[in-house]
Amino acid sequence: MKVFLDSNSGTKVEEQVINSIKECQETIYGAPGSDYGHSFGVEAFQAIEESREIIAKKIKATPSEIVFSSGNTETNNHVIKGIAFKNWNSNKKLIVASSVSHSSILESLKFLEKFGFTTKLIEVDSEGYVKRDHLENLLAENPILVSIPHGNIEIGTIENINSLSKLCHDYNVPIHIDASSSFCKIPIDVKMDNIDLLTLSAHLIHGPKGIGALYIKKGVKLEKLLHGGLQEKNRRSGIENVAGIVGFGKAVTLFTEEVINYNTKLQELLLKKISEKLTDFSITGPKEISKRIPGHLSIVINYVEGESILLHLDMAGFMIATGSACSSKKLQPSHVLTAIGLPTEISHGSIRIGLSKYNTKEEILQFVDNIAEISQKLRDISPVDKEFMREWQEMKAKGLIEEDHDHHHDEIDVDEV
Amino acid sequence: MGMYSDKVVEHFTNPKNVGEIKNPSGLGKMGNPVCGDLMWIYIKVDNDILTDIKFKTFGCAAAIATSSMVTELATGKSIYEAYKITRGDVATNLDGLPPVKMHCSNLAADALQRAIENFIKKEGRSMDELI
Repeated sequence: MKVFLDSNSGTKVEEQVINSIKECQETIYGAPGSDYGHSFGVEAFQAIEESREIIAKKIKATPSEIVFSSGNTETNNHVIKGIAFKNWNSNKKLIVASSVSHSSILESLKFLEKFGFTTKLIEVDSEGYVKRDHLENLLAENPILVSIPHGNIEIGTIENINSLSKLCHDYNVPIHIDASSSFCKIPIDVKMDNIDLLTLSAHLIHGPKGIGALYIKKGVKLEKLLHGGLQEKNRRSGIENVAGIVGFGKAVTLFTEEVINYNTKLQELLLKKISEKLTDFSITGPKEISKRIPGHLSIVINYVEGESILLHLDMAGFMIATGSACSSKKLQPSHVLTAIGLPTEISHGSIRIGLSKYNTKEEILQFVDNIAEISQKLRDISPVDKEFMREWQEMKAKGLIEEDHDHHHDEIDVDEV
Repeated sequence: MGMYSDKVVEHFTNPKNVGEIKNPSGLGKMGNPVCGDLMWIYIKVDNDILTDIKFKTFGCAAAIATSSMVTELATGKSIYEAYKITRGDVATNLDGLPPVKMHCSNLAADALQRAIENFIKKEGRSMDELI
């Protein structure tokens, strides 16, 4: 038995989506061309335009404002680098982003620093919301863009993008919203919220991996990321992934209000059961379910380590995610947990659960029993308990902790990872 | 199990010698909560032989597996032989560890050495004996 509870990393692809992709690959295989090509090309072009309309409608945009891509990472790169290179010759070089932005935003910004751009990250509070007064201070420094995630995929926080957009526009600064974790789960109206740029993805809504889209408001200008052909109205070169785009559109039509309600109900049940059966844990991100991405729960379990929990659960048939340092390639804890002020020693016990419409109540109940049992088993092996942590914090406060040699980076070259 | 060998998985799921020893002959502690690896190794020594050895570990699968393995390698050995158990020995006996996890084997071997050093110190003997 295998129970997939990691729908924040990737989702099971809907059967109807798979069928639409298969049919497209089999019958619509011409390279998309619009009015001046042969009939196969026109057909492919029309298939893409149908999806474009579906996605535009979902966020209240016009179809010409949607640009398809290979996913949220590419689109985030496009936004950040595109706006930077558009400002290459100006004296405005500051870009602002939430400190809990996705790594595709943060790493793109880091890259641009080599070319004379500056990055300033907006501080967040303990639940992951950007601190408004800090944002205002940064807006006063005249950045060329502010980028904020709509939904945070690590800790489930949902930002009020309408109010943040108002604030940015009071300072005449364009706003980019990364909606890859929130698209279809939380209503978005790009006109009402006056959004300039928006990132979308198919992989978390039972669509295929490797497909996303950029919403770019009419009038906003970005340099291209990919050069070559004139596809996507000369905004994103490259032969279109027709079948993927068709699958994306299909997935959007199937992610209904009912799906959201179902996921939310399961999420409430999960929290209820975990609170009954698990001891010494705390929720990361918003404590209220209604303020979290539907289906998303993230917690830290005290006195045990995330990778150990993950592997035990996997052997028991349940798949989840962890933000612990030991499970990452660079042995660093998740930047999001660090940004919300979670001490590193606590973050090791972090786990994240992503529920979807394919999960059942029975699975939740079994999962909770398993995680409670596993936590106890690992606590029995661990020398760390409440007493230990209390003493350790006291010693730390008094400066009595001897700094151990950093054994983590003894033999590996982190850059080779 | 992905990057881990069967031996690592075995020692992780059924670790040997978990526990504490009351009034141990020696206790070795390595790591700290910030780095996410903590190993405590308790030893009982009679006539310079490790007659009992127990561990407690907070950490990832590799941390637990290497702790378990080092205690298995050390049981019944003299303190001199046990002191010579290296990081490489631990990793080899586990049929290897992924490169990013090698540091866990370092911790396990070092914790055992610290336990033995702790014993020597408590006995008022000289560390030179171990070299």
